[in-house]
Amino acid sequence: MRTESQLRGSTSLVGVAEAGLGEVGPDVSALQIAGEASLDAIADAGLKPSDIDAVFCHSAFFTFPATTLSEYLGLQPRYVDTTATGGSSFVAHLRHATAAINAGMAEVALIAYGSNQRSHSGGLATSGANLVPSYEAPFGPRLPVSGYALAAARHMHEFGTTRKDLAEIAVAARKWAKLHPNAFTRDDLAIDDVLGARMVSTPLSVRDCCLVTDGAGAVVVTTTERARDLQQAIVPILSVAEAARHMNISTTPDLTTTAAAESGPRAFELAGLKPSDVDVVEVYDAFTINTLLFLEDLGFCAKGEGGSFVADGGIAPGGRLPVNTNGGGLSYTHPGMYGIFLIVEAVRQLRGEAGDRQVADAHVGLVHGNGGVLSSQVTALLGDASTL
Amino acid sequence: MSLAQERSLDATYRRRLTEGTLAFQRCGDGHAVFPPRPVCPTCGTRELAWTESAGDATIYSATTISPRDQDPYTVVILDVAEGFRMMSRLDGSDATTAAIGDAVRLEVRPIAAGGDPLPLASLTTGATA
Repeated sequence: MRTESQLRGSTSLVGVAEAGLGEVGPDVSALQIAGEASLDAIADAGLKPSDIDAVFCHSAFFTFPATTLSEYLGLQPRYVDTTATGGSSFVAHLRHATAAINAGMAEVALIAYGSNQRSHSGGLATSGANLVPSYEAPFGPRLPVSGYALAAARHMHEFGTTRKDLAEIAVAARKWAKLHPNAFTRDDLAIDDVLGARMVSTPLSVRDCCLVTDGAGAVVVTTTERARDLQQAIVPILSVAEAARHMNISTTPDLTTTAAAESGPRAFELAGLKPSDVDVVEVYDAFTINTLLFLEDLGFCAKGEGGSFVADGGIAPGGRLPVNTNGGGLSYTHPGMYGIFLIVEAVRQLRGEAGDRQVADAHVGLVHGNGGVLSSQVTALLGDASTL
Repeated sequence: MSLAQERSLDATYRRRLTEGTLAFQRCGDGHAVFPPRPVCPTCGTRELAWTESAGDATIYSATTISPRDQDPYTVVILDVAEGFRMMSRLDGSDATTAAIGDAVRLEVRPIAAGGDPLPLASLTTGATA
């Protein structure tokens, strides 16, 4: 039996693509754009759909997601996984694909997501019906935002974090988005715009909240050995770690320290790396408080010091640490579940394909997925060929 | 029917609310368990007994929501004195003055007349009764 650290770099990302970003119109289905992103990712890898023998998918828009997508594209997978941990699912799929490939159960894995939630309703689509009684809904929280607002309020109470600290995160995301031709929002955004925006659930305003867009993303994973013979520069998966401590925010043991404080250190240990080795960071920013909590929990700064870490453009272009270099869920795209787009952007940075927003000498990228209401936390470390 | 024989944990909780009490479970080692479930998530025992809260709690966190068509209300996570955490809410003038760390009293009543009974919070200090 191998230990998980022996899987370091055994698999690589070989193809990535996005489709239908922004607003595709009411008649274009989530399945169609998920299919388009999948085909483009397979082509980006220089592979054919018939090379895919494992399919990973999660969606709030079509049931039996991996089975449905396989039928749609004519795939005949021998390994199927619809792990559903919300927006973190696709980062978790990287780990599950690595496990399946190393176990000899599959060789080439497609991981895909698509959502047309902007065109479909403008509202937030959630992951399926919940037919068990809720011990939260009767009190009227606006979920998910109120869950994150409760975390933000507690963080302010314990550590003196301010709304301006959170606004810095929204402004930094917008500055990155202005460097990305496909970002959904690229107009100017100032600290005062965030502070003066309509309040949704105190202390979070509408500018502390992610976009509601359409969009699809897909990535292809295979053995690093096979990846070396394909057309793209390899992006090895150095480690992935999963953690969860609650589903419902009211049962969390700690509102200001997430399970990223478990997944992060595990991912670093498995990869033999530390936070200071990371060149580019992509964390799931459904709300501004997410970025702050994850930078602390993943070890980029001490607990409670997130506010000073992001201050004065700390995570904006030219700052202390490049974070969410596409503009993130706050300014790039957010079609319900954002996790796949974290991976796509990290791969583009590590391949050196990120254009105006390219981080110089990017060899190690961290991807952190969040699902639910700070519920599921999944951290992955990705590299380039120099990290093997 | 005795409480021990009542099959649905959720229905037991709701029935106790209709009787005006906030019920929760406690295991043999003294861990408070909420929401109701068939196991103590702390120690793993399945030996759980129903008991009820006296209704004293402290605000662990709070968020205020101001819908366009109704008065602001504040959703809170409470640390209930018996040792469990739960969501609740404050309405009226309490909604705009409540702060983290404040003491509250839980009272089982509907949010609006005719609604289901819920454990709702009001500030202990400064309350006008």
